[in-house]
Amino acid sequence: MRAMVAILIFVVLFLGALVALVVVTFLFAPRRPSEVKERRFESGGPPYGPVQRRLLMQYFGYIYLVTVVEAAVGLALVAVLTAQPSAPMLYLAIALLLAAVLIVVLRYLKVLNDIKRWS
Amino acid sequence: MDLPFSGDLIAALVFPGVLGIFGFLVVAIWLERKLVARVQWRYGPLYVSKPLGGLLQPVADLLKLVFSELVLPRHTNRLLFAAAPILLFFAEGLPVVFIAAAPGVVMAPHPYGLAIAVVLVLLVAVLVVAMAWTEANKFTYVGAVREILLTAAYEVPLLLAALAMFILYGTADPHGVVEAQSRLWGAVLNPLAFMAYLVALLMATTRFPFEIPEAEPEVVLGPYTEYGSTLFIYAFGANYVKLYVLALLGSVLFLGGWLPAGGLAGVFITLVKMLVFVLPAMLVRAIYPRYRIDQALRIGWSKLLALSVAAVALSLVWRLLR
Repeated sequence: MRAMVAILIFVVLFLGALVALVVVTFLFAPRRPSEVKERRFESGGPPYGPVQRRLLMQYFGYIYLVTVVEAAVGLALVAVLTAQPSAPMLYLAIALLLAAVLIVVLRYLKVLNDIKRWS
Repeated sequence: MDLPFSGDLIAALVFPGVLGIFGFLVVAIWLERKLVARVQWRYGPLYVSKPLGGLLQPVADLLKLVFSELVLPRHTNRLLFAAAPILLFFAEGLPVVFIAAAPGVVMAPHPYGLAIAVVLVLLVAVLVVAMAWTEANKFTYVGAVREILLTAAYEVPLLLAALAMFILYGTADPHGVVEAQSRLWGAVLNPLAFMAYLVALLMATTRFPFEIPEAEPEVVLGPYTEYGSTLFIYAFGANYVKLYVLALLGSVLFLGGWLPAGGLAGVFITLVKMLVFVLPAMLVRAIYPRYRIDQALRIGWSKLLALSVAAVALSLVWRLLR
């Protein structure tokens, strides 16, 4: 309960200050709207074409890798923090997991780095 | 406990809470400009408050920004456009809730506190992408994609560095972690994890060799392109808040936190130790060129990954020897 008070004070004060400053700007800053100001910024030129593009896929391998490896490392983190003190089997499992990650990355590093392959 | 107020209130209001975050924003911007100027044989900010070495220049800049016109572009969802940087800045500061700056000076003492803080730090990239998306601009789009890719480069090494230290200490409670370093600091016990953390910190805060999402000559300001006024302070300052959080986390994880003192003196010691992370982050800007995104990804998944895996291995060895 006591901890909640401090967190609540922090959140309310922090978020409150952030919103309050925007309100100050909204109320007191000069406002001279113009069509040019309010349109999309494209380095001074008139905006053209759609914003959305096709996502280039040359880095797809990294994204694939990070979703898998991060989840596995997250599990290892949870396991380490919740395990009984000094659990050699757990440490062995972590060592094996990381060895597997290293082997896969080493094996495919060349493919991952070949950014021309995907474009 | 020789603190005049209760520790959690100090943590919420002063350090590492609200005042610390805003104070760091001012001091860090000043320090960065001053240090880089020194390297480049310039004076840096000087004319606002000359006796203080221009310390009030960032304050003047921030005040100017607060009172400059708030432009909400027509093509965006205006509510989301205004809310995104506020949420981003807030979320960047949120992990300090779980990090202790001195014994008892923590908002939420939790047995897994530091692990929660690490996870919160990693979650924020989602908000950067959301912000770039609400801005609906070609530059912010490219910036968002680069942010995602850079995240893919540093997330695993950062997690592995944290994992290595948690294995070493056997706990993620900030007090327990610091106690475990009473004889030797974490940076000495596991220098590999310290190095991996430092590089991951530079990537996570998009500091210079990895200042790829907001590379000025390439994508204007990347994810912050459309913002001005107060919203620009939040969008741009969020990275400094992240640096603040990661420096605080790093000094607790690797540099023994408030040791050898306790109480109020511990707060100051933690502050000084944070400089170990902050100063390199400021100085590399004056020295390094910028990597391409594919180079950053390659570093993240080759050398940095190898370093952080070696760090975990070193921790496992330490743990088995004990």
